Amino acid sequence: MGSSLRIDKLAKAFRIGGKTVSILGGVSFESPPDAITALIGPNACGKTTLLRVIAGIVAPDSGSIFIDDADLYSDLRSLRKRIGFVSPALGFHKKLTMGETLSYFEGIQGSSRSTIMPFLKDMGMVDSLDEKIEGFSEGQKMVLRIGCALMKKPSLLLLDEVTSALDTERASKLISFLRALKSSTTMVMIDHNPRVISKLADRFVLMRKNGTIMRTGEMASFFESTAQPYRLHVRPHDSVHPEFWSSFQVPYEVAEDGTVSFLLKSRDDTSKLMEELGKYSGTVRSYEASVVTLVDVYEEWIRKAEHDKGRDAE
Amino acid sequence: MGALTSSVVRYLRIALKYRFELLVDAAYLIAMMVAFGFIGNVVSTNPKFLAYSFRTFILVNIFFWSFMENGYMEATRIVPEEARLGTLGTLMNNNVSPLTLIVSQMAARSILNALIAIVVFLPVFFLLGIGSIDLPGLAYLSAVIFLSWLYVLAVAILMGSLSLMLKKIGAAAGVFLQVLKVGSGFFFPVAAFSTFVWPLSELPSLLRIIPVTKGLEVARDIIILGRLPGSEGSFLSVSGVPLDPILIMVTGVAAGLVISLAFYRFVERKSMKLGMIEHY
Repeated sequence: MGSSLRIDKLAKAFRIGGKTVSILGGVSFESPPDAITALIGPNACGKTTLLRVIAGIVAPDSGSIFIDDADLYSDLRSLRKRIGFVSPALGFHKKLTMGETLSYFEGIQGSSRSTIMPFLKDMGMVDSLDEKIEGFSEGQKMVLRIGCALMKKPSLLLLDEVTSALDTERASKLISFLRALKSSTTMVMIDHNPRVISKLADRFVLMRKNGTIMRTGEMASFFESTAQPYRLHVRPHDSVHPEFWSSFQVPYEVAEDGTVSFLLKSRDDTSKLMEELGKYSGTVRSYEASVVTLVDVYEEWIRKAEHDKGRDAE
Repeated sequence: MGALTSSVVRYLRIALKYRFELLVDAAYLIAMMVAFGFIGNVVSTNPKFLAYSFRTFILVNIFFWSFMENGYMEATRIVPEEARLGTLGTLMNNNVSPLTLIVSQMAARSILNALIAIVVFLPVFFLLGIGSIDLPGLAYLSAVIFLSWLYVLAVAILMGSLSLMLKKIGAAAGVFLQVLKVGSGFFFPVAAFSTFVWPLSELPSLLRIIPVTKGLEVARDIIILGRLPGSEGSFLSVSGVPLDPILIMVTGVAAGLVISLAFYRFVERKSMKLGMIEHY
């Protein structure tokens, strides 16, 4: 079974260029055992720092982290054994082979590579055990990073952009593997690909630019939360006066090519508007209805988080 | 040409941002100048300090220091090296501290260098007729080399800690090593310090408290003269073998390790708090 995780009013600031810059401004959230939580937010909002604080690498200025109700920084050495951390920043000695690298991690963790052999086999890496890491692609190095963290059999796994360097096939296999691992491991992940997040995460923590939390909740509510999930894209014959589009009293956006996209709340609203537009065949050349994509919703929330100045999580 | 000039200016700007490193570079030059000044002085005017040739003296000193010199240098560089590789964070997550890295690197390199030193020096000693050592002598020699190694390890931990805090310590580790070598009587016998006015006249006695100085003196006696430290005036001996030098060395090593480990703990806590490990 995975560990429960509770973050309580975590704050962290760094001295950068003589100034104290707040990176995390009192972050609080919880993750039940065996849940996958996605940290979402614009660049430089403190996601990676938060992950490193949870990994026990950077100490917080204030606040606490509880793993299975035990305070991480009161019993750091013991609790770190339960935490696996995968970071794209982890490098390896290029002159060592993959097998030698795994031996090192076996030694420092007191673990065995047999735990991860099925994973390495699945990812097509077993034949590379005797190869030096200097010949590895970024994708292969990422698989090795994940393998080193998994050997520990962590009950809390921290994943920082683990799919970014992988090809489509390996990324898909990794997602399946992590989904299967969910029954015994709690995970906190950062990924900029909304499709990966939607396939893996159960919960989300949306962070603002100032290192505070804007929203937390179930992942389903994140992608369903947009107020206008339907779009009607209209192509006019010629340029049309904005008053014409405003007359329908529905919010809309105009693209550079002149396409007008109406933002609608329901399928019924979409049908009604299509009926109305049908009366203006002299102005409207064509129209096409669609439902917003995961990427649309994700980008919309990131934009909101980038500009939101509030401090309290909803 | 423009690119070259701009690059030179850029590197100058970067270098000037690390003032500690510049200070250390200057100190290094001064240390070398003083050390070699002393050598000249000893060799040319004070041959009375040596009961054997200066060549034999230097040869044994190089042999003795080869057990620890490279290990020390590599150990003090290991934290910045691991940081460049990006391994520090993950290793810490696996409960491998920078201290573990420093100690293990010193041990690994010292094992290799000890083997190399033995292979290289034994034939030379044989050819020059140096070093007919009996079993008690070999045991005593091993003990003083090991204790000296432990002391140099304590210094490596101190310098490695400094690199954790200051990121770039430049030649500081090298300078400290040279100072330690001068103090240990590597370049000239520490007794030569007594030729100068006080406080240098008192210096030899003070320097002999340093484990590596005491260790090197004992090692020279065993290897060159084939004798253990004299038992005259000894306050601790077992079966006629004086253990005073061992006791002095053990005390010095213990003090060195306590100080360096306390400093390391302080720096580790500080760097984790300030995020220096993350932002290396």
